[in-house]
Amino acid sequence: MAGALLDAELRALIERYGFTGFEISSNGGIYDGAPQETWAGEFDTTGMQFRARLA
Amino acid sequence: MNTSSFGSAALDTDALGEVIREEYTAVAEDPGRGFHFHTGRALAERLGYEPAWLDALPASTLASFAGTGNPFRHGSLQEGEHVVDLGSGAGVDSLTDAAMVGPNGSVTGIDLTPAMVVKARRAARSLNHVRFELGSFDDTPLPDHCADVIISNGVLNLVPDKHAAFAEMRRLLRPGGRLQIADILVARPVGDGAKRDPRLWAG
Repeated sequence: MAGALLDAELRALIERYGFTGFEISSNGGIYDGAPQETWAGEFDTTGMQFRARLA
Repeated sequence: MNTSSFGSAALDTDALGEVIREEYTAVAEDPGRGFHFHTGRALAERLGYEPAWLDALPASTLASFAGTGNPFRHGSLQEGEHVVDLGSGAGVDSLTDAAMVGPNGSVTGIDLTPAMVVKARRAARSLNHVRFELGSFDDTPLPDHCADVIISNGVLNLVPDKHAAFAEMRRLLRPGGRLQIADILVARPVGDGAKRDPRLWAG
């Protein structure tokens, strides 16, 4: 989990590597109820999925 | 020791690879053991996977599912498409891809953990348009522009060099191809101390 990106970091990578049409949606607290919940909560960790197209 | 900079922290990437292989070998071979993250069918249902997709999978494959999202939330795959699944694990997403693209398409799953590749190959042995290879997200054994779609689920956060990961995805995709990626995000930056600890990457 320590390697997770911030939203702004992800968006910067998408743009830098030539992807367009970025769409993202959240799954909220993906670790809720798991042993990792407390650690994940310290960083407001959320699950997500995105789509983007190579220009 | 190989290192990578992510933010300002130096990380022992060899150690990270070992930690990941250890963790996900356990997910492949002993999925009922219990992990610090959710696994299995209940997780997939929570993430919005269609019951019909899950019913079509071997129970042992589904038990080793450890995704963080649903790569199909923003759209299904089309018949005949060529798909690369980076960090394919036990093969839940790859086998779902295979059903969507059909025999005129293809699916290639890449995973760092040998036990996952073995398990996924076993599940796909009757499918001629699906294959699994050992490799890393950012250094696959695949040719340029071979993919219409790149799928991944819960793996990008485990790649130490995010620039290498995006460069590899760009190399693999044909022009106009798309990413359908699930992963995690943090809303507050992780400190350098945690970023140097491989166990906090895999955990």
